[in-house]
Amino acid sequence: MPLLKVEGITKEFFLSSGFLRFVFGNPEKLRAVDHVDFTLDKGGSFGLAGESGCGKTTTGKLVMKLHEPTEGRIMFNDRDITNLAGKELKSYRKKVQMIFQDPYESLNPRLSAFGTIKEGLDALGIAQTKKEKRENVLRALEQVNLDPDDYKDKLPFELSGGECQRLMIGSAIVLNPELIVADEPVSMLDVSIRASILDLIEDVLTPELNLTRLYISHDLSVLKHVVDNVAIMYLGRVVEVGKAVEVLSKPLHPYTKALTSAVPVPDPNYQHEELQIKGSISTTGGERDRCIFEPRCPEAVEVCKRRLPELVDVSKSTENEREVGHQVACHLVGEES
Amino acid sequence: MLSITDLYVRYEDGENIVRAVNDVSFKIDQGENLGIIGESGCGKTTMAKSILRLLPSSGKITGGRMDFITQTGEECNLMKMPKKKFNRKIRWNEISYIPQSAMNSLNPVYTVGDQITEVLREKRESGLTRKEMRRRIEELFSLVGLDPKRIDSYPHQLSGGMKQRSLIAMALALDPSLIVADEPTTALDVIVQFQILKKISELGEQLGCSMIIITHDAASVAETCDNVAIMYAGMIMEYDISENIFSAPRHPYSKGLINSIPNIKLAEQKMVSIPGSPPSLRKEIQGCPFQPRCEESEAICKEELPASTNTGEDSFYRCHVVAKRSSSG
Repeated sequence: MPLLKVEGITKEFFLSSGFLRFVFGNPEKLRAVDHVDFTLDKGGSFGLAGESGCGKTTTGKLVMKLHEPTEGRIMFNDRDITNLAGKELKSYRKKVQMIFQDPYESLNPRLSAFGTIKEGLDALGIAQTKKEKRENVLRALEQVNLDPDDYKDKLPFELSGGECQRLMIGSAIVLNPELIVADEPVSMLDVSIRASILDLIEDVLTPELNLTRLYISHDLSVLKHVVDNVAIMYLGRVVEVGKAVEVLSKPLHPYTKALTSAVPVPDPNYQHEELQIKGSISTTGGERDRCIFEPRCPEAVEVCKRRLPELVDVSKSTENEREVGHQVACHLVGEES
Repeated sequence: MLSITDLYVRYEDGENIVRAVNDVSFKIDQGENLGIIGESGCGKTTMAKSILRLLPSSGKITGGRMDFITQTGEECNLMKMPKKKFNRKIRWNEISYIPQSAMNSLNPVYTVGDQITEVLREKRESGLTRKEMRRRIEELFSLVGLDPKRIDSYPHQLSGGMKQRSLIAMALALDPSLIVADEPTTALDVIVQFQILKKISELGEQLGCSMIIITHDAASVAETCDNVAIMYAGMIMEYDISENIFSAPRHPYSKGLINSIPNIKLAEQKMVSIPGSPPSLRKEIQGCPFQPRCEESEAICKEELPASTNTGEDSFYRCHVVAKRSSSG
């Protein structure tokens, strides 16, 4: 059953501020997220990947309701959450929690570990009595492998990076959420402890709390090891989506191909394929008259300059031999080929 | 070309002493790339800064020597050299530095061209005219793959990758024989990172200059470096050619580190992390610094700091257990 269903979600930002220009002129717009769809099943995990500026974090924030979408809707447990307010919004906040990229910056330096976790309980009015709150906090600390006796009174500066991130996870799970949005959860951490944080979320907390996870990361090799399905984003649009293992090892979209072949491989004898991609990432106002990747695409043909390709399921075309649900937005892949 | 022996660096702040670099020795030859891999706080940046005398005033080199052979064949001891002479002869001319986070290393109120001109002008002996300088910068820009039109751009007009390239151009301005690059690709996107790493290895071959690349990203070292040093708690734990480090690491820490790197080319791979966290360098460490996190540790590891065991002319590791195992079998 899908827990989260994102349907045609779009977010535009105004680039030029100024009231008069807003009222009279045609303000310049940046389309950060452009008609993104995906579904996330209960208990499943999904990854949003792409370079910086591709709109993956904005998508995460839309799901968190930290931004209002310009278009489209987000269904959570079959309810449209785009227009929630007041009490209903508060109850949505309990069910969806975020883990941020930089644990050092995200923690209040003057709150102890205990206080950090308790803050969420206070704010959302979970657990009424003091005793109940205390029990909840201590349980959360234990769940993230921070021994309450040692850690409950510690301040963030006394913790290592890994411990800070565990604390952040603790303050997310204490509210007993259904969905966790993890925005680059390990990119600020040392390589040797990354696996332990990912294992904590995936192998310990997920079965225990029946979590559904939405990961946002630029690190494809990390995503490949944690998520079931992955969507590759470019300039606000999803260009390829499917099973993570399949998308990342047998990519079809030229952009995914470039991205996966550029990932450094920890093997001195590995020979990279020549990277064909040209230029660098630009911005878009949401034009529909050509493929967004066409200016950089090494394989572009005439049709790419005329029409924006839609996502097409490629499992039906026999030559590709991809699993059901693998979709690619490219004129060269799919029905035409 | 550069050889560092028994280097010790510590930061002193009143009573607090941080032993950031302990007993580090390595050498680097002409045209060779050395990668120094380590986690945050292991002393890798301190070590780089001590080569270039960029340590803050609390940082002191407390022991060791650094010998350097200039392009003209002059042998000199970098640590004994007076400051003025170092600035005039070595900095930029012989050894240049690409600092961490290219994004914030350029002056926002000058164009990139001006900033490179500054380097060229500082070294008056080159005696270039304005036009010649401009031509030189154009040459440098095309060398690092930047459009020469970008010379008159301000840093905010450039993307992250372009800023990084212009810093590399600046480092190359006076044909140094050694470039020390601190996390050259950390803040960049994969595609740009790939292009920069490729450029770095190409330039090394093309210009014959050596490089020390300092990073926590072992995978990018595997792509560019001939030799690798694994650093932990201010010490080099293992030093070898990169093929050996990545295919058959000897030290338990190197093994753990290599196992924790995800490889996108492998279908099934279990990422393994090393339990615990690195020791604080504020306290004197008894025995092997890795011992509390090491699965193979024995009684002796708590007592005694392991000495380096040589495995080849230029390769060594520091581990009691591995040394014992290899000498008995």
